[in-house]
Amino acid sequence: MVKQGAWGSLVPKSPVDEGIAGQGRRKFLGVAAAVMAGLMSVSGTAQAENLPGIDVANKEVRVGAFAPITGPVPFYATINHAADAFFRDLNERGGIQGWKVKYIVRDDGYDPAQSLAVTRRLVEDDDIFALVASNGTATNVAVIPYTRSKNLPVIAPSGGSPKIIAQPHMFPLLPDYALSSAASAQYALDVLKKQKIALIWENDELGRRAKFGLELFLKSRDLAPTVDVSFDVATTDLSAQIQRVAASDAEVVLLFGSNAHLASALRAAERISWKGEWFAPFFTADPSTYELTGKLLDGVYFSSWLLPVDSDREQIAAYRDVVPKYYPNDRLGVFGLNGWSAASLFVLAFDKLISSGQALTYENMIAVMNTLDGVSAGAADKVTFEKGDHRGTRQEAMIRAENGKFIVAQDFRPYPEVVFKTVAK
Amino acid sequence: MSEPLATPAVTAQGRPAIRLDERLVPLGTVLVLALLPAWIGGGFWLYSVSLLLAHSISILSVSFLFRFSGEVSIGHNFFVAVGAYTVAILQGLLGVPFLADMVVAIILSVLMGLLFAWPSRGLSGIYLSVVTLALSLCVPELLLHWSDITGGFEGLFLDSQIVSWLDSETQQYYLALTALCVAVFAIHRFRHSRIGLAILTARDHPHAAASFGMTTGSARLAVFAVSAAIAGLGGSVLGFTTSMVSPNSFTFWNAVTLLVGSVVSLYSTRIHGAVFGAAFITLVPQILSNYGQLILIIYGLSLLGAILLSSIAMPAIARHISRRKKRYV
Amino acid sequence: MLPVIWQGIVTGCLYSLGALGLVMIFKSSRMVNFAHGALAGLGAFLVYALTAGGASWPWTAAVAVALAASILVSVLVYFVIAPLLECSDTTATIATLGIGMVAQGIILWQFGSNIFRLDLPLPNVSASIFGLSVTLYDVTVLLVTLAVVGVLFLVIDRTRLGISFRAASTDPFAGRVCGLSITRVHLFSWIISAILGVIAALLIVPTTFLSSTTVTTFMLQAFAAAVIGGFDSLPGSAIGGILVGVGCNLFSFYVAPELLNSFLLVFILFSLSCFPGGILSKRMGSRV
Repeated sequence: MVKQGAWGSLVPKSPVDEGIAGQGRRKFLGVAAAVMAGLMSVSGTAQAENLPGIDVANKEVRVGAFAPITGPVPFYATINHAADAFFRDLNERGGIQGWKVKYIVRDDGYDPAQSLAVTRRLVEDDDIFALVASNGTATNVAVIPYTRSKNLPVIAPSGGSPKIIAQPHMFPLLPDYALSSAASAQYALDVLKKQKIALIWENDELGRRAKFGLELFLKSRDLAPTVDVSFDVATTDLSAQIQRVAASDAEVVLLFGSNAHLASALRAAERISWKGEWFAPFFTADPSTYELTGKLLDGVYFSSWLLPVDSDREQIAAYRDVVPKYYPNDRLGVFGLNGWSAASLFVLAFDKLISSGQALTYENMIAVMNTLDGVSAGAADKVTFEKGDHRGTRQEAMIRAENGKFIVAQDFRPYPEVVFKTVAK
Repeated sequence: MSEPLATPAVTAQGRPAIRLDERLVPLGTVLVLALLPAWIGGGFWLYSVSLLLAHSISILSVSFLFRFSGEVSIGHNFFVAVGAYTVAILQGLLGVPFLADMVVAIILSVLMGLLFAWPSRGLSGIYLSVVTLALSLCVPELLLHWSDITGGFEGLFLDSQIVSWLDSETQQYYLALTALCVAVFAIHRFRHSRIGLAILTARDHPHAAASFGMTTGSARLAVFAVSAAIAGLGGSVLGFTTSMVSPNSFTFWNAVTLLVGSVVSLYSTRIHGAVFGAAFITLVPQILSNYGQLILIIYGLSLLGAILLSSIAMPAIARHISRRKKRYV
Repeated sequence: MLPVIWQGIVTGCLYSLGALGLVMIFKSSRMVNFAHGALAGLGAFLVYALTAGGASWPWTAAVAVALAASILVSVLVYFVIAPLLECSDTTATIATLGIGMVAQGIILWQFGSNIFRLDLPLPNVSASIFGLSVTLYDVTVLLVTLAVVGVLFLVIDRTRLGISFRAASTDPFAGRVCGLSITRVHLFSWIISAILGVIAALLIVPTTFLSSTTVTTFMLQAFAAAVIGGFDSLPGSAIGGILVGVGCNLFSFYVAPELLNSFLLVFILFSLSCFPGGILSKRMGSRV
């Protein structure tokens, strides 16, 4: 008897395939191959422009980004939605000295191999002038060689890696997470006067950098974390980690993960009635976190390079008004603010470039970016880039959650020097 | 579903003859692929086809496993990752030239394949598939655990130059194409070899095969070893083509994508089938890349469509045509 | 140690509930429904949309509507998959992957990629028993799991449809010979699976929160539970779930939470080599 496996009866019954199923298969593959060939011959040919990404006749500048619309982190794409809303609103109000911005976002599924393909397509097919708010750390790192070879300006990539900061053509706003964790520890030690600090970190780029920064900073003060426990990104229950923190006698806990992880940790701590000071990353200082945690979020600190979402600064109020018009499903929050600031940064620099009267080339854009000193872009303050030092954000403020709102507990101050200088290279 | 089995035509040497149209399509495919760079020129589409060819090899490994053992794997991203990271680490850390790295990568993948196949040799069907699922989920965390050599979440860069007189892009393309042809040819020879036939017998008539020395256990080990070797080859080519490796390229969803490509190609171990399956998983996402939030819906529907078409519509049409021509095959 | 085990039991019950839905379909159709997580998530989103998300319906009404909608969707999916089942189980399984993507895409399109909170309408009460902190949610999960397993048993053991289900899953050909409508049996299992999915999702979501990816990711771990307990056995998958939950939690706490998946792999291989086919699988003789 032929083995009827659980997996199917399409397994051919003899080593040589014959029969009608085989015929059908060959015909299908033949037809399909022809279709694919046809699709491929319809490749977009880029208009031969004198200046890449610039359409002088229509006064249009094209910028692009790759975003993880499909894949494990679709909510990161909120960053690009906000940037898109910024550009669309700007175009409606007249653009940058009459120049309109066209923003092309393509999906890369958070897979660096795809990001490279998408970036090549954006540069060669879609003909862009710069990448703005390109999304992800490993994805941005993957396109470093290619974008460097083209000298393409990469404005405010949403990735926290020292490699990105070291590139002459990349201008990140996002600080290295090592800096944020060090700043949080500094506040805990100097302001809250508590020394027993525990670390719970997500096992990926975010968490590892945070761990590095915390340990480095504490070592400079002759201290160490009381306990250091990690979790997988896909974990939903942090009760085991919280139990270890409680067992270690800690007074302060730094948690580096998403807002869902923070909510889970806060709930777990409440279950075992553990009390302490909490620090979390800047992107969890978001109204949506309050939705997940309820009152438990009150009193949590966030070291942030962005002003709070409820701030009444004009650019942030504009963010709250404009984004819901174009993306009603997106919640207002820190991710969106990040994208909004990225777009602001590009517009600021491009405006300066036009005003300077120079040719609108990649080189000149990069040169202009390197002249920015202490500017405010969206919700980010004192953004500075100079040749050889692209640590865009130099300062962070301490935000605290209180009664459903986020207030500034300590104003912007520079990062702890001992960690800041290690990030430079 | 009963299909009338034809008696295969046999040559004078007693081996099954391959009809002309069976040779024509694969050769035609290779020819078209070999001349493609001249037509396209370069740039993004050429890179996409290089990526496609690299994926074809990985898809071949999944199809091979299914054809020769009847088992489905959703964990082949593991072996692909072994191949990719081996070349990256050897080239980056030890400075070994790429072609030598590729050989080591294949050997290492075979060892990993055996290491996995041994404890799971008694499992089959859904049980084996879930174990491959568990294997697949381990890849990112293992890569991150040994960050010092694997480069952690940022990954490692590769130098895509084997010879110095040709530019990188062309080298990537032709290496991928050559590797694909080698893999397809190897499978073809394997299938017509004695051990290949013994393994196929072990799949269909396990007790008969056992009686002359090929137990299901040994068949499983052999098939996994070869499948892992092909996947390792695919991984090294993938690393070379993209010039970098990172954990995000070897997740569970990548393993699922390989399986999707394999199913869409109808588990074909021919070159045109593998290329078609890879085209579906590489080009369709590119084509859909700026449809924003509708991408998943469209991709899911096109996957369903491709499956319904290839499994039901096409054979039905073929049957209909054959009946009308009154050809009994 | 006890709190870790207790938490593991609660999480394990959630895995069991997820696994039960998968096993139901596997037993009747010999295929795996990869869309289970996404469709269950869609049901949970429907409940969210009708309650906390705006319309403010009472909970029971919202759940009833979600169940009805899930059943309809499940039946529709079955009729799309049915012709593929004739060809091959793998092909049908991959087709469910496509359906899962479509379901996830619908969630993304309608609700965006945000994370939402969807708690059960229970008072936030907890008690300390034997030094453990036990909340009403934990007790609910346990009770619901027991109830579901109990009801399933009764239905499959006692009702006619249940008996035909057992017959068709043991030997479909013989079932057909006896005049059973295989389609009806399949529909029965798909409908039950849809109901189980929605119940599981509503219990899972208070812990994992609700987004387009959370329920799907959770279901992957349910696979491990199902395989350890035996894909052929409903009580087995329930027990398997608890074992996986407790085992994983103990490993996370005492050893290394960042190597959890590797632990799961070793655990599964070990369990399957001791109990091939699952802990409570039915051993069948091989035919020559």
